[in-house]
Amino acid sequence: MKVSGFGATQELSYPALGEAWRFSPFHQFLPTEISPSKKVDSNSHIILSGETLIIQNLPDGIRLKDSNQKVGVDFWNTLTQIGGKAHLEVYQTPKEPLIILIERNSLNAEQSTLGLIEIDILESNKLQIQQTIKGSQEGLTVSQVNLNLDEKSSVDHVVSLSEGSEALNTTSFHSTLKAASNLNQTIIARGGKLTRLNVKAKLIGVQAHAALANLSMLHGKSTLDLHSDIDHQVGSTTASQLAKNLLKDESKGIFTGRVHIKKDAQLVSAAQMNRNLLMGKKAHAIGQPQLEIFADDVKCSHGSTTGQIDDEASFYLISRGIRPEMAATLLTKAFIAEVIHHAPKDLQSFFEDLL
Amino acid sequence: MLEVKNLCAKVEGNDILKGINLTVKPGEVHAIMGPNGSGKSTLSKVIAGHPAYEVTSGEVSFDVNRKQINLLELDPDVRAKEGIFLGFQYPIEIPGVSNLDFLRESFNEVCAHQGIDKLDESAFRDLLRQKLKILDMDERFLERDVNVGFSGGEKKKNEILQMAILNPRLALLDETDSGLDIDALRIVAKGVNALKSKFNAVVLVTHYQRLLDLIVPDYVHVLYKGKIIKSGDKSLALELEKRGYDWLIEESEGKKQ
Ligand SMILES: Nc1ncnc2c1ncn2[C@@H]1O[C@H](COP(=O)(O)OP(=O)(O)OP(=O)(O)O)[C@@H](O)[C@H]1O
Ligand SMILES: [Mg+2]
Repeated sequence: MKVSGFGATQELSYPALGEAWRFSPFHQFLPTEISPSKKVDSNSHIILSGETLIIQNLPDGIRLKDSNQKVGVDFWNTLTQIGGKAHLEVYQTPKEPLIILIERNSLNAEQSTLGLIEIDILESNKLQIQQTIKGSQEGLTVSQVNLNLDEKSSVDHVVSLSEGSEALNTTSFHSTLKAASNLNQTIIARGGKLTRLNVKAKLIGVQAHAALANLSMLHGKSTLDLHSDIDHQVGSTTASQLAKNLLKDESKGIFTGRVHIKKDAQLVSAAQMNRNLLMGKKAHAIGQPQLEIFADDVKCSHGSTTGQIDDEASFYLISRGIRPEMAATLLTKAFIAEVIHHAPKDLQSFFEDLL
Repeated sequence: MLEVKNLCAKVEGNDILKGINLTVKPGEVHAIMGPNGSGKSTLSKVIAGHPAYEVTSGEVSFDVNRKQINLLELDPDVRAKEGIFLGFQYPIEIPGVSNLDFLRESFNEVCAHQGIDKLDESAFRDLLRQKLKILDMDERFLERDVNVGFSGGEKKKNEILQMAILNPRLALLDETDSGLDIDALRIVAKGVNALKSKFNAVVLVTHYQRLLDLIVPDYVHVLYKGKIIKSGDKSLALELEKRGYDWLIEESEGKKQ
């Protein structure tokens, strides 16, 4: 299999995919050749589109440490030497959010966007990120964002991912949290023939806190496979996770949520909730919590619900004169709103078009 | 305005209502009492059109434009639009839907059906403010999600707020008094009394005389095992308060033999 783009001229072979990739069989769909797309224009600060990496008008307080057109991307952990890389540093709290756009241009059907963005948030600074990942009808996007949070820093990260019905996508977010740092991450993903989402948060300093929320809104024959990994390396760290699937038609939403609490990492608090709303007779949700808890003085909770729209809630609305279709719409919006409301108030408008 | 004849209904395969007869005229206040599990909430839900409750026989008719029509043929949202209001014994929590959006949506749908002009946002807010004041409720309740995190009493007040906004012709209030403190009970009674007119009727399901001191019923009915075993005036409630249900149950079971 040949891969080109970003000057990656050598031939690369895709490694065999193991058990953890059982629901995302990329090897079945990958094009034989991945070629780059055309240049784009935008107001975003960082644009990754096909072979183009644009970094422009960075908000005050953020500087570029390094950029590269040939780097390693965590595409099933081994494939390297493709994609573009931007390494940024936040040395002062910016006044405006950092806007990232990762897209494929629809002009070229057989095209790909591959890249890695790494951001170091230096001590005590705050960063807001608005990230859009936008695909086209077909093609492949592989991207990864690494967030390295220094002591007492904080990041609010909102992500909107939308893919075309024949597209492939693997998107990864790897965050590392030092002491007293705070991450609030809200990811809403739509569409795609097959999307693999990897969300990792590694808590390596006391009082670090990660709050993660994911919503997959799927229809048609889309499949989205979310693997999350919340790793409590030290005690006195807290994390909460809400993973939701809104599944129409014949779509499939998979959630594999690993929570790891290292031996002697006491006083950890970890909450995980998985909710699936099935709106199609053939829609299907799979939830696989993996709780690996090796400390004894911890507070952990896990819950999972799967079902259709709640009849009692629906009747309550209808009994007030609201038409049944409208009641269903309101309750669906409510399901979505819970994830949007997970983001800080000033970033919620980023998801406005969803309601 | 409401006529229930020999109504039988079941839920989950169990017969619950076994021949209910009840006539409610405009301007009247009826109280329905009876032991736990006798079918009071079931009756209210059947009238409101809850899909889980199946009418097996009997009739329910309701006045629409001065004609008694078969209520059982109307969809539940249409029943509400025609002026039937059910105050839930256990109001439902709806995370993600704000009280304000819920009230607005409901008010607009009911107005549209009744051919009344919609209110613009500020006029609607004014209406809400006025009703909130009567119920001694904070405006912040509007921004909160429907019933989420509300205390028991706050949920009941929220039911009355919805009723006050929709101004129904027939209000079925299922234990709206349970869980209310003394002041809240007075406030709720004030809200219900404000609705009362010669055009409107109220059916109160309650276990307690203290509500009936504040909203005085014209009729009191006792429901037991899916049947009304006794009807009377307000003095019946006072007697029940003193003597409980046993004597009535014995009386009615004696009659059967
Ligand atoms: N959805 C349901 N599924 C199964 N049984 C039900 C259901 N709804 C009501 N019932 C049963 O029907 C009977 C009557 O219930 P209902 O709620 O109408 O009583 P009630 O008179 O309102 O009692 P309470 O005073 O305790 O509120 C009870 O035995 C109850 O368990
Ligand atoms: Mg009841």
